[in-house]
Amino acid sequence: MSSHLSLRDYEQFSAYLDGQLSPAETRKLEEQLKANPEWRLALDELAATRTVVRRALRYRAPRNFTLTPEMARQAARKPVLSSLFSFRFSAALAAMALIAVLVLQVLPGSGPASRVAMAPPAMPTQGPAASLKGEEQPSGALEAAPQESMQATAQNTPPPVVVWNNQSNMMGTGGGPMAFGKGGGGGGSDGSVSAERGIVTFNQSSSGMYMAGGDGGAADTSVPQGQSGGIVTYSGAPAPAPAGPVTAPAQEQALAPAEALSPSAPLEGSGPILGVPSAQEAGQIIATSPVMPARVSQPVTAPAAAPGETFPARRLVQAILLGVAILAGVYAWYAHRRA
Amino acid sequence: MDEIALVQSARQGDLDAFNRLVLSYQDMAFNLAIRMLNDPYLAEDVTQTAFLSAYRSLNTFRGGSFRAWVMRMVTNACYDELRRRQRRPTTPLNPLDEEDDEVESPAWMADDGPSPEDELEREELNRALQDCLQRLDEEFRAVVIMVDIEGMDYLEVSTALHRPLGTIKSRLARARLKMRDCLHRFWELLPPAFRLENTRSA
Repeated sequence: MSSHLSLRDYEQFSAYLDGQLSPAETRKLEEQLKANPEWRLALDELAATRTVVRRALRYRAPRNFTLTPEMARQAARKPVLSSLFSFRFSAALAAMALIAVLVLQVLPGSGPASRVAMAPPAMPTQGPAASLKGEEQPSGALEAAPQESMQATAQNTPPPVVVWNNQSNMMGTGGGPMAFGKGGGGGGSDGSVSAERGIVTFNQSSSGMYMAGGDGGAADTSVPQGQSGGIVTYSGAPAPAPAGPVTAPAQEQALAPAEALSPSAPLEGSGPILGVPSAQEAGQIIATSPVMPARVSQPVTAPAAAPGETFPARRLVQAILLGVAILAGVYAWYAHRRA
Repeated sequence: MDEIALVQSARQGDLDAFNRLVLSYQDMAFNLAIRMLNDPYLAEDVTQTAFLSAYRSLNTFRGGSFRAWVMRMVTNACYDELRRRQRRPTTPLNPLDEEDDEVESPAWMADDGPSPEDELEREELNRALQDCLQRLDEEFRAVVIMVDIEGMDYLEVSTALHRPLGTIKSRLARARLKMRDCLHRFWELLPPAFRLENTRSA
Protein backbone atom coordinates (compact mmCIF):
# COMPACT_ATOMS: atom_id res chain seq x y z
CA MET A 1 0.00 0.00 0.00
CA SER A 2 1.52 3.24 -1.13
CA SER A 3 4.82 1.48 -1.06
CA HIS A 4 6.02 3.49 -4.01
CA LEU A 5 5.87 6.66 -1.97
CA SER A 6 9.19 7.82 -0.80
CA LEU A 7 10.09 9.34 2.52
CA ARG A 8 10.40 12.63 0.74
CA ASP A 9 6.75 12.33 -0.32
CA TYR A 10 5.71 11.66 3.25
CA GLU A 11 7.71 14.65 4.38
CA GLN A 12 5.65 16.70 1.95
CA PHE A 13 2.44 15.20 3.29
CA SER A 14 3.45 15.88 6.87
CA ALA A 15 4.41 19.47 6.19
CA TYR A 16 1.23 19.92 4.14
CA LEU A 17 -0.91 18.80 7.09
CA ASP A 18 0.86 21.33 9.33
CA GLY A 19 0.54 24.10 6.77
CA GLN A 20 4.32 24.34 6.43
CA LEU A 21 4.52 24.16 2.62
CA SER A 22 4.91 27.19 0.47
CA PRO A 23 1.94 28.15 -1.75
CA ALA A 24 3.70 26.78 -4.81
CA GLU A 25 4.49 23.50 -3.08
CA THR A 26 0.94 23.26 -1.79
CA ARG A 27 -0.51 23.81 -5.24
CA LYS A 28 1.77 21.23 -6.81
CA LEU A 29 1.01 18.65 -4.14
CA GLU A 30 -2.74 19.14 -4.40
CA GLU A 31 -2.58 18.57 -8.16
CA GLN A 32 -0.71 15.32 -7.58
CA LEU A 33 -3.24 14.26 -4.97
CA LYS A 34 -6.06 14.74 -7.43
CA ALA A 35 -4.28 12.77 -10.08
CA ASN A 36 -3.24 9.91 -7.84
CA PRO A 37 -5.79 8.29 -5.48
CA GLU A 38 -3.06 6.33 -3.68
CA TRP A 39 -1.44 9.54 -2.67
CA ARG A 40 -4.73 10.76 -1.27
CA LEU A 41 -5.10 7.53 0.70
CA ALA A 42 -1.64 7.83 2.19
CA LEU A 43 -2.28 11.45 3.09
CA ASP A 44 -5.55 10.52 4.84
CA GLU A 45 -3.76 7.87 6.88
CA LEU A 46 -1.16 10.32 8.02
CA ALA A 47 -3.82 12.90 8.81
CA ALA A 48 -5.73 10.39 10.95
CA THR A 49 -2.57 9.48 12.84
CA ARG A 50 -1.80 13.13 13.46
CA THR A 51 -5.30 13.70 14.78
CA VAL A 52 -5.09 10.73 17.14
CA VAL A 53 -1.76 11.89 18.56
CA ARG A 54 -3.13 15.36 19.05
CA ARG A 55 -5.91 13.92 21.17
CA ALA A 56 -3.40 12.69 23.71
CA LEU A 57 -4.01 13.73 27.30
CA ARG A 58 -2.06 16.67 28.62
CA TYR A 59 -0.58 16.22 32.02
CA ARG A 60 -0.53 18.96 34.57
CA ALA A 61 2.40 19.58 36.82
CA PRO A 62 1.80 17.74 40.13
CA ARG A 63 3.32 20.66 42.03
CA ASN A 64 4.91 24.00 41.47
CA PHE A 65 8.50 23.97 40.29
CA THR A 66 9.30 27.48 41.41
CA LEU A 67 12.74 28.01 42.89
CA THR A 68 13.34 28.94 46.48
CA PRO A 69 16.07 31.47 47.29
CA GLU A 70 18.20 28.60 48.62
CA MET A 71 17.79 26.66 45.37
CA ALA A 72 18.68 29.78 43.42
CA ARG A 73 21.86 30.25 45.45
CA GLN A 74 22.83 26.64 44.91
CA ALA A 75 22.14 26.93 41.21
CA ALA A 76 24.32 30.01 41.03
CA ARG A 77 27.19 28.23 42.76
CA LYS A 78 26.90 24.96 40.99
CA PRO A 79 28.46 25.79 37.62
CA VAL A 80 31.92 26.44 39.01
CA LEU A 81 31.98 23.41 41.27
CA SER A 82 30.41 21.05 38.81
CA SER A 83 32.54 22.21 35.89
CA LEU A 84 35.71 21.69 37.86
CA PHE A 85 34.84 18.13 38.74
CA SER A 86 32.73 17.09 35.83
CA PHE A 87 33.38 14.30 33.41
CA ARG A 88 33.64 16.64 30.46
CA PHE A 89 36.14 18.94 32.14
CA SER A 90 38.29 16.05 33.28
CA ALA A 91 38.24 14.41 29.88
CA ALA A 92 39.13 17.67 28.15
CA LEU A 93 41.94 18.30 30.62
CA ALA A 94 43.34 14.84 30.04
CA ALA A 95 43.22 15.31 26.28
CA MET A 96 44.92 18.71 26.42
CA ALA A 97 47.65 17.45 28.72
CA LEU A 98 48.36 14.55 26.40
CA ILE A 99 48.49 16.87 23.41
CA ALA A 100 50.95 19.09 25.28
CA VAL A 101 53.12 16.08 26.02
CA LEU A 102 53.17 15.12 22.36
CA VAL A 103 53.89 18.68 21.25
CA LEU A 104 56.84 18.87 23.60
CA GLN A 105 58.00 15.55 22.27
CA VAL A 106 58.10 16.66 18.65
CA LEU A 107 59.40 20.18 19.17
CA PRO A 108 62.54 20.68 17.05
CA GLY A 109 65.80 20.35 18.90
CA SER A 110 64.33 18.79 21.97
CA GLY A 111 63.01 15.44 21.02
CA PRO A 112 64.85 12.19 21.31
CA ALA A 113 65.19 12.05 17.54
CA SER A 114 67.65 14.91 17.50
CA ARG A 115 69.53 13.47 20.42
CA VAL A 116 69.80 10.17 18.69
CA ALA A 117 71.16 11.91 15.65
CA MET A 118 73.90 13.39 17.76
CA ALA A 119 74.67 10.18 19.51
CA PRO A 120 76.58 8.26 16.83
CA PRO A 121 79.78 10.36 17.02
CA ALA A 122 80.12 9.27 20.62
CA MET A 123 80.17 5.65 19.66
CA PRO A 124 83.85 5.36 18.70
CA THR A 125 84.85 6.15 22.24
CA GLN A 126 82.79 3.27 23.52
CA GLY A 127 83.49 0.92 20.71
CA PRO A 128 85.70 -2.11 20.70
CA ALA A 129 89.41 -1.71 20.88
CA ALA A 130 89.87 -3.11 17.44
CA SER A 131 88.43 -0.94 14.82
CA LEU A 132 87.67 -2.60 11.59
CA LYS A 133 88.84 -0.80 8.58
CA GLY A 134 87.74 -2.02 5.24
CA GLU A 135 84.67 -3.40 3.72
CA GLU A 136 84.51 -6.77 5.35
CA GLN A 137 86.40 -8.20 8.24
CA PRO A 138 84.19 -10.74 9.85
CA SER A 139 86.06 -13.58 11.44
CA GLY A 140 89.42 -11.94 11.67
CA ALA A 141 88.00 -9.17 13.74
CA LEU A 142 86.20 -11.56 16.00
CA GLU A 143 89.40 -13.33 16.76
CA ALA A 144 91.63 -10.35 17.06
CA ALA A 145 89.51 -8.12 19.20
CA PRO A 146 89.26 -10.21 22.36
CA GLN A 147 92.93 -10.88 22.43
CA GLU A 148 93.92 -7.30 22.21
CA SER A 149 91.34 -6.04 24.58
CA MET A 150 92.43 -8.49 27.21
CA GLN A 151 95.97 -7.29 26.94
CA ALA A 152 94.91 -3.75 27.14
CA THR A 153 93.09 -4.45 30.35
CA ALA A 154 96.06 -6.25 31.82
CA GLN A 155 98.42 -3.37 31.11
CA ASN A 156 95.91 -0.82 32.31
CA THR A 157 96.55 1.29 29.28
CA PRO A 158 94.21 2.84 26.80
CA PRO A 159 93.01 0.29 24.33
CA PRO A 160 94.88 0.08 21.08
CA VAL A 161 93.14 0.76 17.86
CA VAL A 162 94.06 -1.69 15.23
CA VAL A 163 92.91 -1.12 11.73
CA TRP A 164 92.76 -4.03 9.46
CA ASN A 165 92.91 -2.75 6.02
CA ASN A 166 91.64 -5.68 4.14
CA GLN A 167 89.89 -3.98 1.35
CA SER A 168 88.01 -6.11 -0.98
CA ASN A 169 89.71 -4.71 -4.00
CA MET A 170 92.95 -5.96 -2.61
CA MET A 171 91.81 -9.49 -2.74
CA GLY A 172 93.53 -11.73 -5.09
CA THR A 173 92.20 -14.81 -6.57
CA GLY A 174 90.92 -15.96 -3.25
CA GLY A 175 88.04 -13.62 -3.35
CA GLY A 176 86.17 -13.18 -0.11
CA PRO A 177 87.24 -11.92 3.23
CA MET A 178 90.26 -13.52 4.68
CA ALA A 179 90.57 -14.47 8.26
CA PHE A 180 93.59 -13.96 10.31
CA GLY A 181 95.34 -17.18 11.09
CA LYS A 182 93.41 -19.14 8.63
CA GLY A 183 94.13 -20.38 5.28
CA GLY A 184 97.72 -21.08 4.74
CA GLY A 185 99.24 -23.67 2.58
CA GLY A 186 101.15 -21.06 0.81
CA GLY A 187 104.84 -21.05 0.48
CA GLY A 188 105.65 -18.35 2.93
CA SER A 189 109.19 -18.61 4.10
CA ASP A 190 110.48 -18.06 7.59
CA GLY A 191 110.50 -14.57 8.71
CA SER A 192 108.78 -13.37 5.67
CA VAL A 193 105.46 -11.89 5.12
CA SER A 194 102.92 -13.58 3.09
CA ALA A 195 100.97 -10.82 1.65
CA GLU A 196 99.26 -12.71 -1.00
CA ARG A 197 95.62 -11.77 -1.48
CA GLY A 198 95.95 -8.80 0.72
CA ILE A 199 96.62 -10.73 3.87
CA VAL A 200 99.40 -9.70 6.13
CA THR A 201 100.51 -11.52 9.19
CA PHE A 202 103.21 -10.72 11.61
CA ASN A 203 103.48 -14.21 12.92
CA GLN A 204 106.60 -15.58 11.48
CA SER A 205 105.84 -19.18 11.78
CA SER A 206 107.67 -21.45 9.47
CA SER A 207 104.78 -23.76 9.34
CA GLY A 208 102.68 -21.07 7.94
CA MET A 209 99.71 -22.12 9.97
CA TYR A 210 98.92 -18.54 10.88
CA MET A 211 99.56 -17.26 7.48
CA ALA A 212 96.79 -16.25 5.33
CA GLY A 213 96.39 -18.37 2.39
CA GLY A 214 98.43 -17.80 -0.57
CA ASP A 215 99.12 -19.48 -3.72
CA GLY A 216 102.75 -19.10 -3.25
CA GLY A 217 105.09 -17.12 -1.20
CA ALA A 218 105.42 -13.66 -2.29
CA ALA A 219 108.06 -12.41 -0.03
CA ASP A 220 109.53 -9.02 -0.10
CA THR A 221 106.16 -7.57 -0.29
CA SER A 222 106.27 -4.01 0.80
CA VAL A 223 104.03 -3.27 3.67
CA PRO A 224 103.14 0.34 4.19
CA GLN A 225 103.84 1.64 7.56
CA GLY A 226 100.54 1.97 9.10
CA GLN A 227 100.99 3.70 12.34
CA SER A 228 99.63 7.02 13.18
CA GLY A 229 98.22 8.50 16.30
CA GLY A 230 98.30 5.23 18.08
CA ILE A 231 96.43 3.48 15.32
CA VAL A 232 98.27 0.53 14.03
CA THR A 233 97.35 -0.53 10.61
CA TYR A 234 98.30 -3.78 9.16
CA SER A 235 97.93 -3.24 5.58
CA GLY A 236 98.75 -5.93 3.19
CA ALA A 237 99.07 -5.88 -0.48
CA PRO A 238 99.56 -8.65 -2.90
CA ALA A 239 102.87 -8.99 -4.57
CA PRO A 240 101.71 -7.78 -7.88
CA ALA A 241 99.42 -5.45 -6.18
CA PRO A 242 98.30 -2.36 -7.92
CA ALA A 243 99.28 0.89 -6.40
CA GLY A 244 95.75 2.01 -5.63
CA PRO A 245 94.83 -0.30 -2.80
CA VAL A 246 98.06 0.28 -1.03
CA THR A 247 97.79 4.00 -1.00
CA ALA A 248 94.26 4.05 0.34
CA PRO A 249 95.10 3.21 3.93
CA ALA A 250 98.08 5.54 3.83
CA GLN A 251 95.80 8.41 3.01
CA GLU A 252 93.51 7.40 5.75
CA GLN A 253 96.28 7.52 8.28
CA ALA A 254 97.54 10.83 7.06
CA LEU A 255 94.49 12.49 8.55
CA ALA A 256 95.63 11.73 12.05
CA PRO A 257 97.45 14.42 13.98
CA ALA A 258 101.13 14.47 13.45
CA GLU A 259 101.96 14.87 17.11
CA ALA A 260 100.44 11.52 17.80
CA LEU A 261 103.18 9.90 15.86
CA SER A 262 105.49 8.27 18.25
CA PRO A 263 108.95 7.23 17.17
CA SER A 264 109.09 4.93 20.12
CA ALA A 265 106.32 2.84 18.77
CA PRO A 266 107.30 2.05 15.28
CA LEU A 267 105.40 -0.36 13.22
CA GLU A 268 108.46 -2.07 12.02
CA GLY A 269 109.45 -4.95 14.17
CA SER A 270 112.71 -6.66 14.47
CA GLY A 271 111.96 -9.18 11.84
CA PRO A 272 113.67 -9.37 8.59
CA ILE A 273 110.92 -7.54 6.81
CA LEU A 274 110.33 -3.90 7.40
CA GLY A 275 107.17 -3.31 9.33
CA VAL A 276 106.76 -6.85 10.43
CA PRO A 277 107.29 -7.60 14.10
CA SER A 278 109.48 -10.34 15.22
CA ALA A 279 108.25 -13.60 16.58
CA GLN A 280 108.63 -12.34 20.15
CA GLU A 281 106.35 -9.46 19.42
CA ALA A 282 103.61 -11.63 18.05
CA GLY A 283 100.36 -11.14 19.84
CA GLN A 284 101.57 -8.19 21.85
CA ILE A 285 100.32 -4.74 21.78
CA ILE A 286 102.80 -2.69 19.95
CA ALA A 287 101.03 0.57 20.09
CA THR A 288 98.26 2.16 22.05
CA SER A 289 96.22 5.18 21.46
CA PRO A 290 96.76 7.48 24.42
CA VAL A 291 95.33 10.39 22.58
CA MET A 292 92.30 10.08 20.46
CA PRO A 293 92.41 11.84 17.17
CA ALA A 294 90.87 15.23 17.32
CA ARG A 295 88.42 14.50 14.57
CA VAL A 296 86.92 11.76 16.66
CA SER A 297 86.91 13.30 20.08
CA GLN A 298 85.66 16.73 19.14
CA PRO A 299 82.20 15.85 17.93
CA VAL A 300 81.70 13.70 20.97
CA THR A 301 81.89 16.40 23.58
CA ALA A 302 79.71 18.99 21.90
CA PRO A 303 76.52 16.97 21.48
CA ALA A 304 76.97 15.35 24.82
CA ALA A 305 76.62 18.69 26.54
CA ALA A 306 73.63 19.87 24.51
CA PRO A 307 71.08 17.32 25.71
CA GLY A 308 72.24 17.83 29.24
CA GLU A 309 71.00 21.41 29.19
CA THR A 310 67.47 20.84 27.87
CA PHE A 311 66.74 17.29 28.79
CA PRO A 312 65.71 17.58 32.44
CA ALA A 313 63.45 20.62 32.12
CA ARG A 314 61.51 19.33 29.15
CA ARG A 315 61.32 15.84 30.50
CA LEU A 316 60.14 17.16 33.82
CA VAL A 317 57.38 19.18 32.19
CA GLN A 318 56.41 16.20 30.08
CA ALA A 319 56.33 13.96 33.13
CA ILE A 320 54.14 16.41 35.03
CA LEU A 321 51.76 16.80 32.10
CA LEU A 322 51.59 13.06 31.64
CA GLY A 323 50.76 12.66 35.30
CA VAL A 324 48.03 15.28 35.04
CA ALA A 325 46.66 13.53 31.96
CA ILE A 326 46.56 10.18 33.70
CA LEU A 327 44.93 11.58 36.83
CA ALA A 328 42.36 13.55 34.85
CA GLY A 329 41.63 10.55 32.67
CA VAL A 330 41.12 8.31 35.67
CA TYR A 331 38.83 10.87 37.27
CA ALA A 332 36.91 11.29 34.01
CA TRP A 333 36.38 7.56 33.90
CA TYR A 334 35.25 7.61 37.53
CA ALA A 335 32.90 10.56 36.93
CA HIS A 336 31.47 8.84 33.88
CA ARG A 337 30.78 5.71 35.89
CA ARG A 338 29.25 7.67 38.73
CA ALA A 339 27.02 9.77 36.52
CA MET B 1 4.66 42.39 32.74
CA ASP B 2 5.29 40.62 29.50
CA GLU B 3 7.57 37.66 28.96
CA ILE B 4 10.54 39.64 27.67
CA ALA B 5 10.42 41.97 30.67
CA LEU B 6 10.22 38.99 33.01
CA VAL B 7 13.23 37.43 31.38
CA GLN B 8 15.18 40.66 31.70
CA SER B 9 14.27 40.98 35.35
CA ALA B 10 15.17 37.36 36.00
CA ARG B 11 18.56 37.84 34.38
CA GLN B 12 19.17 40.69 36.79
CA GLY B 13 18.55 38.38 39.71
CA ASP B 14 14.82 38.85 40.23
CA LEU B 15 13.79 35.39 41.41
CA ASP B 16 10.12 36.29 41.53
CA ALA B 17 10.20 37.22 37.88
CA PHE B 18 11.81 33.91 37.04
CA ASN B 19 9.26 32.01 39.12
CA ARG B 20 6.45 33.65 37.20
CA LEU B 21 8.00 32.26 34.06
CA VAL B 22 8.22 28.86 35.75
CA LEU B 23 4.54 28.93 36.55
CA SER B 24 3.78 29.75 32.93
CA TYR B 25 5.68 26.80 31.50
CA GLN B 26 5.75 24.16 34.19
CA ASP B 27 2.75 22.23 32.84
CA MET B 28 4.21 22.15 29.40
CA ALA B 29 7.61 21.16 30.76
CA PHE B 30 6.20 18.40 32.91
CA ASN B 31 4.03 17.10 30.08
CA LEU B 32 7.04 16.88 27.79
CA ALA B 33 9.07 15.16 30.49
CA ILE B 34 6.47 12.55 31.33
CA ARG B 35 5.85 11.78 27.67
CA MET B 36 9.53 11.40 27.08
CA LEU B 37 10.27 9.33 30.17
CA ASN B 38 6.94 7.60 30.81
CA ASP B 39 7.57 7.95 34.52
CA PRO B 40 5.83 10.64 36.61
CA TYR B 41 8.41 10.66 39.38
CA LEU B 42 11.38 10.91 37.08
CA ALA B 43 9.50 13.52 35.09
CA GLU B 44 9.05 15.55 38.23
CA ASP B 45 12.74 15.43 39.05
CA VAL B 46 13.72 16.21 35.51
CA THR B 47 11.37 19.18 35.34
CA GLN B 48 12.85 20.65 38.49
CA THR B 49 16.35 20.05 37.18
CA ALA B 50 15.45 21.74 33.92
CA PHE B 51 14.20 24.88 35.64
CA LEU B 52 17.31 25.00 37.77
CA SER B 53 19.40 24.72 34.62
CA ALA B 54 17.33 27.45 33.01
CA TYR B 55 17.89 29.77 35.94
CA ARG B 56 21.59 29.04 35.88
CA SER B 57 21.83 29.55 32.11
CA LEU B 58 19.66 32.63 31.76
CA ASN B 59 22.60 34.60 30.42
CA THR B 60 22.83 32.25 27.44
CA PHE B 61 19.32 33.12 26.27
CA ARG B 62 19.78 35.20 23.15
CA GLY B 63 16.19 36.14 22.51
CA GLY B 64 13.59 34.47 20.33
CA SER B 65 11.08 32.08 21.77
CA PHE B 66 11.60 31.71 25.50
CA ARG B 67 9.23 28.77 25.46
CA ALA B 68 11.44 26.95 22.97
CA TRP B 69 14.48 27.80 25.07
CA VAL B 70 12.86 26.35 28.20
CA MET B 71 11.82 23.24 26.29
CA ARG B 72 15.43 22.79 25.24
CA MET B 73 16.38 22.68 28.90
CA VAL B 74 13.70 20.09 29.54
CA THR B 75 14.69 18.01 26.52
CA ASN B 76 18.35 18.03 27.49
CA ALA B 77 17.47 16.98 31.03
CA CYS B 78 15.34 14.16 29.59
CA TYR B 79 18.19 13.00 27.33
CA ASP B 80 20.52 12.97 30.32
CA GLU B 81 18.04 10.92 32.29
CA LEU B 82 17.52 8.50 29.42
CA ARG B 83 21.26 8.01 29.03
CA ARG B 84 21.58 7.48 32.76
CA ARG B 85 18.83 4.93 32.58
CA GLN B 86 20.56 3.13 29.74
CA ARG B 87 23.75 2.88 31.77
CA ARG B 88 21.86 1.65 34.82
CA PRO B 89 18.87 -0.28 33.62
CA THR B 90 16.15 -0.49 36.19
CA THR B 91 12.70 -1.93 36.20
CA PRO B 92 10.76 0.72 34.35
CA LEU B 93 7.90 2.32 36.14
CA ASN B 94 4.97 2.28 33.88
CA PRO B 95 2.18 4.02 35.64
CA LEU B 96 0.02 3.88 32.59
CA ASP B 97 0.03 0.09 32.69
CA GLU B 98 0.54 -0.79 36.32
CA GLU B 99 -0.44 2.17 38.46
CA ASP B 100 -3.43 3.57 36.76
CA ASP B 101 -4.72 5.27 39.87
CA GLU B 102 -1.78 7.59 40.10
CA VAL B 103 -1.76 8.48 36.46
CA GLU B 104 -5.46 9.03 36.37
CA SER B 105 -5.32 11.33 39.34
CA PRO B 106 -7.26 14.48 38.55
CA ALA B 107 -4.29 16.55 39.62
CA TRP B 108 -2.27 15.16 36.74
CA MET B 109 -4.77 15.62 34.00
CA ALA B 110 -6.28 18.57 32.35
CA ASP B 111 -9.94 18.76 33.14
CA ASP B 112 -11.56 19.57 29.85
CA GLY B 113 -14.93 18.49 31.15
CA PRO B 114 -15.45 15.39 29.05
CA SER B 115 -18.17 12.88 29.77
CA PRO B 116 -17.21 9.63 31.57
CA GLU B 117 -17.49 7.74 28.29
CA ASP B 118 -15.28 10.18 26.55
CA GLU B 119 -12.82 10.09 29.40
CA LEU B 120 -12.60 6.31 29.31
CA GLU B 121 -12.08 6.40 25.60
CA ARG B 122 -9.35 8.97 25.94
CA GLU B 123 -7.64 6.99 28.64
CA GLU B 124 -7.49 3.93 26.42
CA LEU B 125 -6.25 5.97 23.56
CA ASN B 126 -3.74 7.64 25.80
CA ARG B 127 -2.37 4.29 26.86
CA ALA B 128 -1.95 3.17 23.29
CA LEU B 129 -0.33 6.42 22.35
CA GLN B 130 2.15 6.27 25.17
CA ASP B 131 3.05 2.73 24.25
CA CYS B 132 3.73 3.77 20.67
CA LEU B 133 5.70 6.85 21.73
CA GLN B 134 8.00 4.69 23.81
CA ARG B 135 8.82 2.65 20.73
CA LEU B 136 10.25 5.69 18.95
CA ASP B 137 13.84 6.79 19.19
CA GLU B 138 14.16 9.60 21.68
CA GLU B 139 14.78 12.37 19.15
CA PHE B 140 11.83 11.26 16.99
CA ARG B 141 9.75 11.05 20.14
CA ALA B 142 10.69 14.59 21.16
CA VAL B 143 9.72 15.97 17.75
CA VAL B 144 6.31 14.35 17.63
CA ILE B 145 5.54 15.29 21.26
CA MET B 146 6.49 18.92 20.72
CA VAL B 147 4.62 19.33 17.44
CA ASP B 148 1.55 17.16 17.89
CA ILE B 149 1.04 17.17 21.66
CA GLU B 150 2.56 20.47 22.76
CA GLY B 151 1.47 22.33 19.66
CA MET B 152 4.83 23.96 18.95
CA ASP B 153 5.68 25.09 15.44
CA TYR B 154 8.61 23.77 13.43
CA LEU B 155 10.83 26.74 14.16
CA GLU B 156 10.34 26.44 17.90
CA VAL B 157 11.09 22.74 17.76
CA SER B 158 14.18 23.45 15.69
CA THR B 159 15.33 25.88 18.38
CA ALA B 160 14.45 23.56 21.23
CA LEU B 161 16.20 20.55 19.75
CA HIS B 162 19.03 22.53 18.19
CA ARG B 163 18.51 20.87 14.85
CA PRO B 164 17.97 22.33 11.36
CA LEU B 165 14.45 22.89 10.18
CA GLY B 166 14.80 20.24 7.48
CA THR B 167 15.83 17.68 10.06
CA ILE B 168 12.76 18.50 12.12
CA LYS B 169 10.48 18.04 9.09
CA SER B 170 12.09 14.76 8.16
CA ARG B 171 11.99 13.37 11.69
CA LEU B 172 8.41 14.42 12.18
CA ALA B 173 7.32 12.64 9.00
CA ARG B 174 9.17 9.48 9.95
CA ALA B 175 7.83 9.62 13.50
CA ARG B 176 4.30 9.97 12.23
CA LEU B 177 4.77 7.02 9.91
CA LYS B 178 6.01 4.90 12.79
CA MET B 179 3.12 6.06 14.93
CA ARG B 180 0.72 5.16 12.13
CA ASP B 181 2.08 1.63 11.91
CA CYS B 182 2.10 1.23 15.68
CA LEU B 183 -1.41 2.59 16.24
CA HIS B 184 -2.78 0.17 13.69
CA ARG B 185 -2.20 -2.59 16.25
CA PHE B 186 -4.46 -0.75 18.68
CA TRP B 187 -7.13 -0.04 16.15
CA GLU B 188 -9.89 -1.43 18.36
CA LEU B 189 -8.97 1.15 21.00
CA LEU B 190 -9.18 4.02 18.62
CA PRO B 191 -12.34 6.04 18.31
CA PRO B 192 -14.32 4.85 15.28
CA ALA B 193 -13.81 8.14 13.59
CA PHE B 194 -10.04 7.71 13.70
CA ARG B 195 -9.67 4.03 13.00
CA LEU B 196 -7.27 3.42 10.23
CA GLU B 197 -8.84 0.19 9.13
CA ASN B 198 -10.91 1.85 6.48
CA THR B 199 -7.95 3.30 4.73
CA ARG B 200 -5.85 0.25 5.43
CA SER B 201 -8.29 -2.11 3.80
CA ALA B 202 -8.70 0.10 0.80
